[in-house]
Amino acid sequence: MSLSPDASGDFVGVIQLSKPYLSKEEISHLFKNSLKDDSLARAYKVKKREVFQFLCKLIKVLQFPTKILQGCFYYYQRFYMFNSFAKYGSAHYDVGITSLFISLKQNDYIKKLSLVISEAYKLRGIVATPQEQDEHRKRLLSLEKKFMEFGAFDFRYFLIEELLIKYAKYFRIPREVCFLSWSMLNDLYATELPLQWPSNFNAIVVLRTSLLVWNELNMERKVERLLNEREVAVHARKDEVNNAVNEFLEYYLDSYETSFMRDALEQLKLRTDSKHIINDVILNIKISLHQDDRPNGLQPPRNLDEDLFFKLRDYDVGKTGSVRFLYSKKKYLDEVSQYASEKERYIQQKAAALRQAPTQPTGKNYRAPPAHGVPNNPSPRPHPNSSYQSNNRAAPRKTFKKNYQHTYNPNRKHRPERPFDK
Amino acid sequence: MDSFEARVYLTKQLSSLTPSKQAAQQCAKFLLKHKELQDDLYSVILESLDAADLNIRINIFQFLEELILYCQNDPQKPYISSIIKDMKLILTKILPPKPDTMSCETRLLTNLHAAYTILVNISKSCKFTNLKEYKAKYGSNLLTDMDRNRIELQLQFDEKPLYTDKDLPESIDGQLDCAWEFLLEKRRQSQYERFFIDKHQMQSPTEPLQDTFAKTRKQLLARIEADRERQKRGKENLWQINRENGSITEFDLVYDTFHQFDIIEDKPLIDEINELYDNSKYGTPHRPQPNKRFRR
Repeated sequence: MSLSPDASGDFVGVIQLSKPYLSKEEISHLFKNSLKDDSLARAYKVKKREVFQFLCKLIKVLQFPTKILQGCFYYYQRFYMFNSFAKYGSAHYDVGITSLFISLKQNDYIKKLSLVISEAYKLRGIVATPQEQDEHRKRLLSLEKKFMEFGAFDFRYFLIEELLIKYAKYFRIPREVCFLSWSMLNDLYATELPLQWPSNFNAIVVLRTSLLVWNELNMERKVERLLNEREVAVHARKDEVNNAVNEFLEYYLDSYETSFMRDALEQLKLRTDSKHIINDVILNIKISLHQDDRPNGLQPPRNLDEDLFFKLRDYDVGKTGSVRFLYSKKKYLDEVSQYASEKERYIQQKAAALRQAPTQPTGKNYRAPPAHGVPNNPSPRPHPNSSYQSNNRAAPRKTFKKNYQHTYNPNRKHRPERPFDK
Repeated sequence: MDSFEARVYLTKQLSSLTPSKQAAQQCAKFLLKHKELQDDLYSVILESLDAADLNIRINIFQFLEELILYCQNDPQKPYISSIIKDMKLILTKILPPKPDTMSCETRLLTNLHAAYTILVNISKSCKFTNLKEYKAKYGSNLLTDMDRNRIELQLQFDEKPLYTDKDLPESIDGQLDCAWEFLLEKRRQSQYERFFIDKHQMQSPTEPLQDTFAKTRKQLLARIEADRERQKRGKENLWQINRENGSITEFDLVYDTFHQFDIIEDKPLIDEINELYDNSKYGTPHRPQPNKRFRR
């Protein structure tokens, strides 16, 4: 997303639609942008694990509940989707602490940032003067602003914890199995699943996976439950759930040693050696799952390259222009469609002006729209999936006049007589 | 610093104690530094409790909480045994009896709730076993049938037996039990008087209070500020989770917070989540197709 002001000193306006959930292809596209090559991707993985480990310890020191950690992982992963890893990769600890701080605020847990920072220093064994800590605090606060911007100031994110417990009670799952699934839920946040699916769907995925793991480990104390998603208002296809379970299990293949599940199994006094769990349990379950990797043939792959939403963020827009955040896609599409017709008018006007006097500046009161990021959709109402972010200016609503029926009078008592009625 | 100087210094500090955490910590550090003078300094605390007004008394109690926390980290554990031993005595000073000269409308229970929270914290740090029961009792209705009859007859609460001296048990738990029982009785008194006011439409006292219990406007404002500070401090540690026995303790807490999923009660939540997802995926609320089998 490169939006520099035009040479004419034009005002840049950007509309950004908030999108808390992204599809799998969108996520891989975003990561392709932020992690340019394989070495960066590997470094990202290593650093992600390092930071998550560190945050787990920090949470224990500060005695925060685990749900803070859950929100924190979500924000951390989102940050590197919209920001270049080459640029921010070295600041991974800063990103981690900032996401922790945002998660704290969102859950309404008051703790001073300076306190969190000093504990983090202690944990990492770094000696820092109060001045350095203060500078660090300011750096984190500026980073927080970036978080807000790419997240479109959208806090409508629901934690899975609540629904998981509610569903478990609904399906009458025993308490110790529920403990296992709650621990596995914390692992789920380290995967990409919470970025893709809503909380109710993820709750079902975790419950299913934990039941499979439990039954594989306790042959004699099996818990057979039929988890019907429709019953608990989760609208998902069977293959979608299966694929998600599969993806979740894959996480354990390489990070079982450091996972919450291991911790839980230890507390439940079950077998925890990693060789057994990975080779026998996880792989067995994976094989037994009917895997359906067929691509969904209904939707053709979209071209995400031209959509500004899927470009890396440029935070300088706010300095020269304005960014507006919208939560409703319908409103957003309305605005984009208005812009498309306006663009046509502008081109006609420009052509006419050129014909009359080529040296004259174009349009009297009309400011030229920026050249970049113009939606490439020529129809007045774009296809719903075509664009999420576009350059736009605030324009008066035009739909009002179109929809206004001047013959309609709400106080009218009698219907007008029409000749063919009689 | 000799013992006389230390006494003078501490008296001065305690008589102007603020409810902030820093002030309490500063005082506690001073006491810990001079722990060889503990008998002398401890008597100063009791004396300043007598001399101060109600606002300062609760501040001093709050400082005692901080002191106990500090002393427990100290290998010698000074002060703790004497404070716990006198816990009931201290509480009777924080929640003093009403002098006979006062009119029946006045009440001296302003410190009740703050004293309760501080006592909970102290009990926690002393690993008091019966804390859960007492907390449950404090939250329940303590009025007996006899109390209700007395209220009907417009009889005032008889608080004299609360302030009579009894033999104190030796163990820490027994001493804390005594303190808690006193606090519960005070709670009962507060419930009694609340009920009494509702029943007989009493007015607030018109005449100003005398001597140490007099509240000027300035003191009232200071009290409001202090309570705000206390509230803020309480909120800061409300969510702390103790993971000594592993994450299962936290799970128990989470498990007990949520009830079973109910399709009607939880509909707003589910609707909101689904709408958010649909909005983000399709752009408009997306309803699943009805099942064809049920279509007529």
